[in-house]
Amino acid sequence: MKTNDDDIKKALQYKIQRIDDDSFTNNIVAKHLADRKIIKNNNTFINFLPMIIGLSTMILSVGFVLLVRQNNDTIKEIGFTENHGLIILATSIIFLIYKILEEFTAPNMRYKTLGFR
Amino acid sequence: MESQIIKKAISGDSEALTILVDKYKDIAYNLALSIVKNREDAKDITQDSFLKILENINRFRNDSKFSTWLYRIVYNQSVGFVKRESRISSVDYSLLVEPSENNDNQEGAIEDLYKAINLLEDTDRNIIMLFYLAEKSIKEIAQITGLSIGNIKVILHRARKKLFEKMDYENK
Repeated sequence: MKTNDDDIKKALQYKIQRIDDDSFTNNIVAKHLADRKIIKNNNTFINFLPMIIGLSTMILSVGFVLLVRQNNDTIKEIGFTENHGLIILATSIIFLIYKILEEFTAPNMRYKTLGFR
Repeated sequence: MESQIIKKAISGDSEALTILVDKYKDIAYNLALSIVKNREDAKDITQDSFLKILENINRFRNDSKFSTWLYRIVYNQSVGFVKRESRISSVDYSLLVEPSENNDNQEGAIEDLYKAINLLEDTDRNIIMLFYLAEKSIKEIAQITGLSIGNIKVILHRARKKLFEKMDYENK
């Protein structure tokens, strides 16, 4: 019985089929590492702080402009005019656009790394 | 030793990943080939199984062997493939048996035995391969195939009996 068990094992080991592709292992490892890199990059932290600052500044400047238009006494005492409010508003909009462009054209962003696939 | 390689593989060490794939690719491929009976399909299934395994390797717990986990994926992928493709499970020697260069008695006997293994029913052959080639225990084969331990014992006994009868017949 023992001999027969060994014979079966021997037959299977002797006739084992090989994958006729020398780069099989390398391809799997390379594909796995590439997939890993994409997943890692997709999880990259996006800095929302500039966006929050920009949006807050926009809201504040709109608020100031509205107060100036309502002839608010406190605003008048500070010497804040409608033009000042509009300048701050324009600056914050430019700042936001710049930050968004900078963030979404960074090399670690999803659409950049998807092109790598 | 293998747990160290797995730890390195989890961290993305390409050398460790290569060792793991090289170590198990042949048996995984033979298991897939035994089920799907087509070299290209078996190769694709082996590759997909490895990618799936490596993608989830950080979830691997040492409660079972890495090879058992891998063969289970290969087995399920292959069985799923056959179901999808509605392949007729008949044995095709031209795909499974490579031509032998030497025809002396010993090699002829091995060739005959291999043909006899391939003549077994699909489930019987897969279990024979897992038991003898992959050197899996009955408990591990149960984990891989989803069959009960009792069922595997019966199949293994039946398959061995058929092969031993064949060998006795050849020796007479």
